[in-house]
Amino acid sequence: MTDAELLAAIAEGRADALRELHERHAPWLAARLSHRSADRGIVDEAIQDTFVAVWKKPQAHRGEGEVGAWLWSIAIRKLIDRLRRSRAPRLERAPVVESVEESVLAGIGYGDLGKVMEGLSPELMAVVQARILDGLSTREAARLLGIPTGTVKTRLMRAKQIMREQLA
Amino acid sequence: MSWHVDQDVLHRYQTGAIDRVVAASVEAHVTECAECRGDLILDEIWLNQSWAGIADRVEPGRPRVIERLLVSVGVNQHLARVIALSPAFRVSFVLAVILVMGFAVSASASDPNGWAFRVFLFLAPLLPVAGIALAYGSLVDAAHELTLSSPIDSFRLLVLRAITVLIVSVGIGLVAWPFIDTPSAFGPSAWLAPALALTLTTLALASRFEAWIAGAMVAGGWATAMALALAGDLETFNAGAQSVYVLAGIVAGLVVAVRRNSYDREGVGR
Amino acid sequence: MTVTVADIRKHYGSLHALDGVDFQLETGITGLLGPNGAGKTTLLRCLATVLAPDRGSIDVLGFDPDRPKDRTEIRRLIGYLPQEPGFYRSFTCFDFIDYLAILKEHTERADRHAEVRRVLELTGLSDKSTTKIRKLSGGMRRRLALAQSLIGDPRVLILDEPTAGLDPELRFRFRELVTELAAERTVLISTHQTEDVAAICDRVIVLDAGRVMFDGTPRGLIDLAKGKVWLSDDRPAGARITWRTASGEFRAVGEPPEGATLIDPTIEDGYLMLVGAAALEEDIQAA
Repeated sequence: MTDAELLAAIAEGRADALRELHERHAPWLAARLSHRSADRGIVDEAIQDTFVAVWKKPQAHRGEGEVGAWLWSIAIRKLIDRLRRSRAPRLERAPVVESVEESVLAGIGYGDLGKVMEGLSPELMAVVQARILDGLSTREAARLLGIPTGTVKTRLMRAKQIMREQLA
Repeated sequence: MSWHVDQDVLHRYQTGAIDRVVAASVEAHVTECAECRGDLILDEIWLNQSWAGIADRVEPGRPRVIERLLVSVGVNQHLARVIALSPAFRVSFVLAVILVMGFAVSASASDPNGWAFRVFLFLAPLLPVAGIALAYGSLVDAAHELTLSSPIDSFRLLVLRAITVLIVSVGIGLVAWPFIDTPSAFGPSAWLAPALALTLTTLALASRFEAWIAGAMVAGGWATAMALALAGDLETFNAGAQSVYVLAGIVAGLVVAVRRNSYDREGVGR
Repeated sequence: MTVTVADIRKHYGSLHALDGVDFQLETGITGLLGPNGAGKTTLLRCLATVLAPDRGSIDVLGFDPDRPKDRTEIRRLIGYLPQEPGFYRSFTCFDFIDYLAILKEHTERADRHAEVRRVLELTGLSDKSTTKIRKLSGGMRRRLALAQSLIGDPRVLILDEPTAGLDPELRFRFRELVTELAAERTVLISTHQTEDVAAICDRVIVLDAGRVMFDGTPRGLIDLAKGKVWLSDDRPAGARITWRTASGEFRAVGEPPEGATLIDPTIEDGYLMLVGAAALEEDIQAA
């Protein structure tokens, strides 16, 4: 069954369809979430929240667009909710030094934009990822990153400025 | 998909040993590519645990209002579940009680001379009897055979359901109480003692007959008694009558206690 | 011996539903065969402690159903699939089994839910767990009823017509399941399906008009018809029971005439020898 067909089955109350959807998508969603928060427990809870939300309202995905992207938009927001409620300190991932092949790969994935993003510092990159790549609002990005909304705005502006300069 | 992520890069993405920008690239791709998603290394144990947590929130149905209420005041969840299935909480029963009480209120307003009131006094004690007849027994309790054959104390179950039925009947009655205009010597509580007596008699008979038969017998007996009293011009709700009801209730209660062990099987006591 | 039944009698007015039944059960699968009205359901209800016999004694794993405390103990140790289980039709499969698990004293929620999933999995109903019972077919409801009998992993299983309404594939799965369970448990199956009995039962008891007509192995029941089953091209006169086979010949059970072609009997032939033509007609109507 396609993902869309699974969602239709879920709308009919079939828990086994939800299980199949979970098997297909939970692993990559969890991997992606753990790149936003190193707290494994909160990531696991956010994953469960995500699929429970899908169970309750499968029709919220109105048939357009990839199911994967829709699931991610739910998952990241569930993660933010959990982070907010937990009041635990944000666990940051240590930045990693890239190798040559990886910069080539980054180039293929995002083209010129990819090369340009390399030049950003980790803090600016985090904001770009949250606001642009993950599609979060300013407030959501602030909650995810644990910084004030004003800081999100200024960092995003700075990042865009740097990227514009690089592209020009 | 024209290109796919190299397995090695995927693996490093999963373990976190990867640059942020490359990670972003991987993520954007994986969101849309089922094949690469399938290439991610799968932790079966984690997946099953994750599903277990979800299943537990998704598979069990939403508990009924009554169950949630009982749990919130400290009743054990499993006991609350069982009590919540009592016919006392079925819409049909509650409506029936409200109707009879409503009848009493409107009747006393328009006809304080007492005929309507006497009809009410006849009907009101039968309400909990109907509830008991529905509480237990194959006529209405669909899973009766399964309930009997399980280790749960069937007598305790019956008593619990009887109590809930009484509480609902009497409770709604108490709400209607101030609005019922009563003629002369007795208050609307005139129906409480007969209600209790009839309920206990039904319970007592249910140790020997099926619950709905017991209920029918009591209803028939009550109707006959009322008709005879009317014909013989006997008082059926004065203090003397009340003490008869109380006595009958005590006797019935004793019978129930003595035959406590006859409620969880059929064919007993022939 | 796990279950002992001695001189059980039960009558309804002038009808003798059980008229002096004796037998003993041990680990393994016992099939209970008999025509409609033979008393099979009455007997099973007595064993399940739901019905009190008029006379006689029952012993289940050392407990006596006439004693209230023993009765509760027995109920903890048995799984019972009634002929008419009764369902709360607005419940989902999960909630129904969950509720019955509560009746069976599984008070801890997490453990109970795990048990619910286990028995749903065993009976192949996992993907229907959130479906409402009123939307299930008859065969699926039968499976659900079987699932509830497996809650708590009971040592004794009392199953009344467990394969009624099941298609051949499901019946096959049922046989596999029960054979596996019976390795360490006592299973009593009341059924019309002689093939089920032949396939999985170690023992067969044939009940008719409240009495035990046969108590032995399936082989023993088959042997009752040895030398008494034959094929013929025309409908033979004087045979006890005759019917036409798929190949157009007539199969007959009874005293074979001169020169008849004898064939090997099946368990059904043995059963029919015992209970006769009337039973065959009733069973055909019931099937």
